[in-house]
Amino acid sequence: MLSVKSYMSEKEQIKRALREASLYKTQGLLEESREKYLELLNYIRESQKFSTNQELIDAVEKKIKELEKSIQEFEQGPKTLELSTQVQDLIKNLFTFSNTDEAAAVEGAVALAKFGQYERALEEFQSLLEKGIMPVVTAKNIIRCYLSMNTPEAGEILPAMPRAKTKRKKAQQMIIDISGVSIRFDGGPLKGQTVDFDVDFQSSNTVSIVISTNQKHVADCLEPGTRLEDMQCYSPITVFRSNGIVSRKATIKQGPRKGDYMIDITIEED
Amino acid sequence: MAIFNAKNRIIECKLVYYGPGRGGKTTNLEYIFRAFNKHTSSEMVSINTQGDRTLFFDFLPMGLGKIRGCDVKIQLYTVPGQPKYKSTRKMVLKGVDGVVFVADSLEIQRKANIESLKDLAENLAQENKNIFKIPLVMQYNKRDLEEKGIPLMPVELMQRELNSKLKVPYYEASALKGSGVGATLKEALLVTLRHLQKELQWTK
Repeated sequence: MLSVKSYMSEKEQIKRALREASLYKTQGLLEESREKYLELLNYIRESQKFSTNQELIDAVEKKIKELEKSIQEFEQGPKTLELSTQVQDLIKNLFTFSNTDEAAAVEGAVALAKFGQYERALEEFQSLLEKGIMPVVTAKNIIRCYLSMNTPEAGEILPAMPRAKTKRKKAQQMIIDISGVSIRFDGGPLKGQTVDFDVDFQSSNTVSIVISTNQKHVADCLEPGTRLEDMQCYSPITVFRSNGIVSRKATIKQGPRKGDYMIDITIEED
Repeated sequence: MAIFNAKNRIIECKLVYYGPGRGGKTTNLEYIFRAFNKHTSSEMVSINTQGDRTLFFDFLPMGLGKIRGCDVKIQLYTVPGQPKYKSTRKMVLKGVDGVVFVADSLEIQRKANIESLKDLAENLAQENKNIFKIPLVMQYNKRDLEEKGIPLMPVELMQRELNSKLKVPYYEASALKGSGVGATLKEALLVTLRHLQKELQWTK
């Protein structure tokens, strides 16, 4: 904080404050620089020696205006940038962690969307959907992309979306109302064990299970991209076997099951 | 999430420079790119917006050569420091193996440092990682500004506020001039590789 002392120290303090404010500006700390200039302006106006120095007051006010313009430009600037194909490819590559090709392809497209590369992400998702890869996840992401792009397509997209392969669609339609799944683990710490899960939610061929925090070791075996061979699915009318893939894993943020793991499993056709 | 290819004896790991906006994370990487060019295999990628602020991340791949028969490759990243880019920071932190926290020594950045460290802890927790367990090195940047009469926080105060519980190695630095940058990186690589060695047993 600036304080009024002798004439010399006042001058020194003004110089020091100017130096500080200017340095903050060069460091890109625009708000902090503006604050410092405002503080200085008040100091000058209250000073017996400098309050009549209109030239100094004008110079500080000019600096404040310049900073306010820069701050506004920054705040109104784009939150994202359309990147070159090379950089987009790099993003896809750097933010893909799954071992399976299908899950990795979805993950790469999700990464593009998260970095605001919606048009490229849309191309990728539409191609994945046409190939019938994780259709629920890809379809949801197509809608998310359109919503983020704030285009009118968002409301019209569902009927216009490319259709997944017919055979797969039929298989999805056959999967109805699954109340539980049995998963046999072929690797990891639970190798050879079969664990039963209740299905908490189902959307088309994707079922969601919830695993409590004290079963973390089980949740750890179900990372996105994990293939689940020969799962047993229980429905009120039948029991059938199918393969599946872990399509999403999240931690529940609120409510009575806060902290538990929500895992989505996409059931594949045989 | 380090990748260890046992067949080809290659280990790849990810080091993220974290910290408040305009604290010098990109400047650290730029200095590393210039000073350690023998180890950098390609150009540094920076995705900036106006005012040279990091919008997404900076990326610099490095090769450390062979360590105990393994080819060690490192990927260095920075995150955008401004609070509004939280989701991008979370994305960049995915699969992180080690962190350098670049704290800004400017007195006016005192609160920003604390908030950024808290944000790091939260984002790591969402990745099922613990800030007390992950390899972490603290860097107190911009120490050179003291010469210019700019108010800085004493290192003791920064230690007390940022590192009294973590108790991780710390370095004073000036990323602009390069002092302390190499030492920070070396220590970060050392603690990260030591941690991975224990976890993956890749030297056996």
